[in-house]
Amino acid sequence: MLINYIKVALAVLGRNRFFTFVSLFGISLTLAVLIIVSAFLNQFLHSSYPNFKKDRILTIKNVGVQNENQSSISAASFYLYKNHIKKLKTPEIIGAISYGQQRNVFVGNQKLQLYERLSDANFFEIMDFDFIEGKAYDKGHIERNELVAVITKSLAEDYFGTAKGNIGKPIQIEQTSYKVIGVVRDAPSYNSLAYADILLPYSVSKRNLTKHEITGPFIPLLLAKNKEHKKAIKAEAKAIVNQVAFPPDAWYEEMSLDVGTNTEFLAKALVNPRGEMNESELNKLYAIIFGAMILFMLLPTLNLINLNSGRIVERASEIGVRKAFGATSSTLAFQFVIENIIITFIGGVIGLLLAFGVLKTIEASRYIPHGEFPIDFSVFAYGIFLCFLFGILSGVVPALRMSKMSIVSAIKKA
Amino acid sequence: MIKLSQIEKVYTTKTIETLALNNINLDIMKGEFVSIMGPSGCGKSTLLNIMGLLDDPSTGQVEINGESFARFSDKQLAKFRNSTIGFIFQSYHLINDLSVIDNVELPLLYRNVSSSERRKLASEALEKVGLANRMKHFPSQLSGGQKQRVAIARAIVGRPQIILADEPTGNLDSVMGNEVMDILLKLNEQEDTTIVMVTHDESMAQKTHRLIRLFDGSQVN
Repeated sequence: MLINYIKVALAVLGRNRFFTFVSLFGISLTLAVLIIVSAFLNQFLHSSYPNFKKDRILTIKNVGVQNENQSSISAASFYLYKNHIKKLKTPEIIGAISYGQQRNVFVGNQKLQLYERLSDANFFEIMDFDFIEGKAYDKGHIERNELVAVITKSLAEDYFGTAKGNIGKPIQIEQTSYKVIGVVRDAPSYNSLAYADILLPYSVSKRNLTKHEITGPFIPLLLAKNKEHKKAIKAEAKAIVNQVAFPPDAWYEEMSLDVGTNTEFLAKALVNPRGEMNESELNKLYAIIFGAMILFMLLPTLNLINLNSGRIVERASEIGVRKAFGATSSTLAFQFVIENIIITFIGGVIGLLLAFGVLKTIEASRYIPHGEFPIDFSVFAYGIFLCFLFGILSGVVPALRMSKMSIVSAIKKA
Repeated sequence: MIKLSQIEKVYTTKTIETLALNNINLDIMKGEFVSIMGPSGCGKSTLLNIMGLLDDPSTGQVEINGESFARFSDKQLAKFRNSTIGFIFQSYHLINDLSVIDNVELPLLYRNVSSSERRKLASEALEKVGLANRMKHFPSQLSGGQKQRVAIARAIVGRPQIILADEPTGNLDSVMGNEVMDILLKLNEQEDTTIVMVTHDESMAQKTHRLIRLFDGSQVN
């Protein structure tokens, strides 16, 4: 029976090419957009290179100080990191990365703009960088104040002309020369915790890191043993605000900080920017995304329902004949839903190919530096799920109308 | 075999009621070949539709093989039609997207019949109507007479006890019409199939066992 349905579905597609074009255009375009969006979300909300442990990495952000009249929000100072955050007991690993700074370097007469960030050695244990050659700096490099650097493959190519064979070579950044000890694959630019052209040990900072201050340029990273452990880490980290001694000349009287995963921070920024950090915001964000996707699907779905409903008359004879020879309304409804799913699947395959082409073009364009948007299993599975949903949503209403048509009027209309 | 008692059919619109059938009482025996004649709009097709359980009467009762259908669900009616009745329409009503053999298999799709058995039975039915060499063709590749023979094969493939034919020769020239009529007569004689045929053609009607005439929805003979 299914083969019969497939034969009819394919024949219907071939019979009315304009309808087929309009249907497939709507389906494939919608699904392509949804697959592209889900590929982006997959990167932004879930694990992407090099923070594959994204769901276990908590960051401390929004370190705020305030008094009655004014307030200031920034990242953490090195003092706060070293004397308080580093002493937390619940995280498995504690590391830090600074916000970046633009630096200029020259290759001959050509100026290169670099994004430079400082980190400790633990940062490389939390992030899973792919080392093309060399290795990360360790505690020894930091203790000895060595001027060493881990650079990205693209910087190595731009600066040295080659991605390999650069270990031990010097790279000159604004009067200081650093020895390259590692070359890593570039992190995508939307990865706010790992994107950099050059990573340097915090010990090379020209800033006075021992200064007693609360806010500064560092983002502490706290790696949880597992997802369930995050709550305990958050509670311990939040308690820091009650233990910190303020500098004697400080203008502020209170401090605050937020602890969460990057996704939770994103959810808070989008859903409740002025409120407290709250885990439910992530669920709200997912609900909003899902709702938006359904709404986006609604328009072509309604269009397809309309087109399919209009075709009832065209297929009246078939409906009448099938019913006369023993098809029940439910059998017919099932047939039309199956046909619609077949059509949406064809549209889905076109949409998938379209999305693949667009994502590869975006990757190649460097519009999003080092962005990687693979259509992996989860995106593909999501696409298949959308095809089903789309097929059922746009097929059920016309199918029910078709199947309820009286036999005599169906045959008369033919 | 088929018993119609006090059948009335009224079509109602917002402003008007039309009596399509008026007090029809009819008994058709097993193995009988009955033709129904009358002018256009006299209710012939309506009567045939009610007999074939494709339409409900406004009042009255239809019995087939002693079974009445007032309380039958959509599913039960579909099952009964599938097992007991075969239909032949004036405009053939073949599914153009399916090949000849797929069209003939259609009634068997709604039974628990394996695909190989379906193919075998459909091939046999096509052989009976002389179209074994057209199995892979599509309806658009056939003449009117060939299409109607495919429709007959579809009607008989499930070996129904009753065949209801609504002007089966109406769209055909006399040669093809006679060919189709011969097939129906043979079916009736050799397989004892009960056939009820609506026709405008007196000469075709004369070949059947009994002629029922309708005028303005009423039986006149």
